[in-house]
Amino acid sequence: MTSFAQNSRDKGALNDKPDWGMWLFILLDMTTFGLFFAVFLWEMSNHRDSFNADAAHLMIPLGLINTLVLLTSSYAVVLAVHAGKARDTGSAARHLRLALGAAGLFFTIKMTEYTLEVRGGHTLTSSPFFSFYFILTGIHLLHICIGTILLSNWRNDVIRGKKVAERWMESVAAYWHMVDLLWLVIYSLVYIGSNA
Amino acid sequence: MTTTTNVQRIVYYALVLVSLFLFIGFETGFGGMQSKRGISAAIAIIAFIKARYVVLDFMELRGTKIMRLFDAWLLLACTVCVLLILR
Amino acid sequence: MRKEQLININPAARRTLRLCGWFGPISIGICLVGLVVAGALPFPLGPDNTQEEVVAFYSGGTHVVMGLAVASVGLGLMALLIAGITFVMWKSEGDAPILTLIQLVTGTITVACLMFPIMIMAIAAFRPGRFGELTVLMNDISWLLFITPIAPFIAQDISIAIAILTTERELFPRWLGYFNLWVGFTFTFDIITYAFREGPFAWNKLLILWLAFLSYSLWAFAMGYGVLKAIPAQASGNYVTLEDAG
Repeated sequence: MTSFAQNSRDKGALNDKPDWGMWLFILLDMTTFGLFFAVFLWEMSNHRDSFNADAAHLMIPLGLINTLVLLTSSYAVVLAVHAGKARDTGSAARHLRLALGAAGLFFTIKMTEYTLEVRGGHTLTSSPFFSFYFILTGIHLLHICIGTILLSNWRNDVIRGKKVAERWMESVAAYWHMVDLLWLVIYSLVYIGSNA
Repeated sequence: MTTTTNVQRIVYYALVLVSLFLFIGFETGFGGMQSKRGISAAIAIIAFIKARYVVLDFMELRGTKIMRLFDAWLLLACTVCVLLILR
Repeated sequence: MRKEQLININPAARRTLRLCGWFGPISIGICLVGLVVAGALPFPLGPDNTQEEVVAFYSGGTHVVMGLAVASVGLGLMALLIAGITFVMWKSEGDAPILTLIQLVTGTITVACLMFPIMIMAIAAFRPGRFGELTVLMNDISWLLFITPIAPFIAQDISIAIAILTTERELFPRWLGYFNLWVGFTFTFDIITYAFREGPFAWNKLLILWLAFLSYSLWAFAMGYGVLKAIPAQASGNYVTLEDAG
């Protein structure tokens, strides 16, 4: 049974022709988030005091931990790509396991955070700020889940000794880095920035 | 290849440190700075600089034609965010 | 395999397939014209409009009901694009066209889910003298039915994306696969609109209606283009006719 990774077309020398379609997707995805950020900041500038007051209920330390966890996960994927290109399957598998473990930790911390917020009376519809909080971080969490599936797929192929197309590896890695980058912005704008 | 790996490792630690500094800055009230909007704008700029390093060195787009697109995007997004924060 | 070998069909079928491709952008165009004539665009009703405002819109005159009817026709004609996509996917997927079938089924449901809500709006405008509450109810039903059935369309987009990105037979351009993934993403958060009767996540706001409208329209244009590009410029002339088949 061939895997998704193996079926990915891998035409031509990888470094010669960039996968324009994949980068288009990354930019479009980032732009969609960008729209959310813009609307969030617009609403915040119209309701600054209530946003500040609500933001005080966020658990910044958990946001920080998640930032560090996701940065580590992203770096692990960087190393996994290097290992993959060097055909060092052991190293690739280890780094992907680390990346996946970190993703799981991120998810757990996020769920904990959500539970604590809801218990504290802050829900999807309790205030405009918290609507944005849950929706922004929720859509981001959806991206984490999708990225986790892609990384698992990659790791499974590595463990089973199947050839993983370099283009596929780089696409999954780019997606994961995008997820990391978006979180950096969410952490800064929503967690820290709304509280400043 | 080794050089790139070293740069990536430095970038990773730098991103971790900057994230920690932001947190510490927040906990200490950003040195008593008065302008909340100014602080938020500065934080947004730092966020997009961090994002740029992820694109440059994690996504490994440094020196590529695609990086110009990302630079334009990051600049535009950062400008829009800062303007909205400061309005 | 080259395009000419994969899509090796008689001239009449070629023309029909071209028509299917063209109906991507044409359908969107008809829908837009209809909605603008009806006055539903560029400022659509939202959940925070008063009963009086909603009734006033639907009582606006014949242009409202006919504009909505034309819009529903446009959306219904998207079915031709779905058929065209199905054929091209089938040719590129080979002997186990599962993704093609997923696309066909989910694409069909999507077209129905786009068509019927606009028809409900037309029905609301059909008899302006109803109780205001009933008109508001029909308005709620139609807009929410229009925005929120995300599952079929997302499934359609993902099936197209996977088919394009994993096939050995390149009929659709690769970027179109990635584009479908983005379009699908722009619909994922639309169901949250059920929780908001006002504010930035109400059904008529930028992040919900306008983003989805934009991405769906771009999708129709891009997929129409994809279907047209998949048809080889010249028929190979070696297609099997009914007589050949015996």
